[in-house]
Amino acid sequence: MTTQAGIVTTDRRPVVPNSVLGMLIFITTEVMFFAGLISAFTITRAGAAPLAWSLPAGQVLPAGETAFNSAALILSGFVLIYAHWRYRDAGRAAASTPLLVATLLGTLFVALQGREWWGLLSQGVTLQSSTLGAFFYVIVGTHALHAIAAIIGLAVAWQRMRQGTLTRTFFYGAEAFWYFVVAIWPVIYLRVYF
Amino acid sequence: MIYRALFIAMLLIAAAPAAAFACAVCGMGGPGNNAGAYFGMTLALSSLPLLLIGGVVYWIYRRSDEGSVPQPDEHSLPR
Repeated sequence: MTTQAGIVTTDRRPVVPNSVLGMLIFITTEVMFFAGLISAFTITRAGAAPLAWSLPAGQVLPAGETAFNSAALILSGFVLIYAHWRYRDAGRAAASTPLLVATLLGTLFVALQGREWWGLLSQGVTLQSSTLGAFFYVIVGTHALHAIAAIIGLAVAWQRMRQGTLTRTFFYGAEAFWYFVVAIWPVIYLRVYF
Repeated sequence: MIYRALFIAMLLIAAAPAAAFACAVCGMGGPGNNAGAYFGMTLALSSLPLLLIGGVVYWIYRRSDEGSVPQPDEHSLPR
């Protein structure tokens, strides 16, 4: 606290950057959104007859292939944590490469998911083919949209990091959103694919 | 004695809806555990917002305790 000409000012800094707090509130609403979808899925599944809860022509969701995609997504989360440490301890130059790797791993996840969707669609699994198919596309598709938005955020952060215009608040906000995308996926994967 | 009576009363209250067929979803079709799914999801959706908001508030509280640690300026760039 400093006193200057009768005016009392305090050297106060925000406990949490505004961008991070705003992102946390946004993520809270997003968690509830996904919880609502998973809740609807669970209740519909519990009430469905065994034959009604399946894909057309006895197909099953590709849980094995998706396990690899999931590994890429989770790995990107850990690489981003590493990028955060590098940014905090060694500066932006040291964090640039891990941030790029995390972004590329996230992009790989979305690309592989898109390939998986292409395969399912070509086999006749659509939104209207069955209740399970409808839930699958809505839940996984919504997650994919969030992943794409988060990847764009990380890519912008990487670009700004290279240009030297990245602010700490932007980076932490984009980071928080990506952690949400990574953390919600195992719940979706274990609930929907099995 | 009073605790035992309270415990028994709580058990009766918990069991009463099913016994009285007052559960709106217990009679729904399907081989799955319908009532269990509703109960679990109601529990999850009721507790999740409290846990999330409580977690954020607790995290901010913990961060405010670390206020003595100098923080870099919001727009500062690490070198």
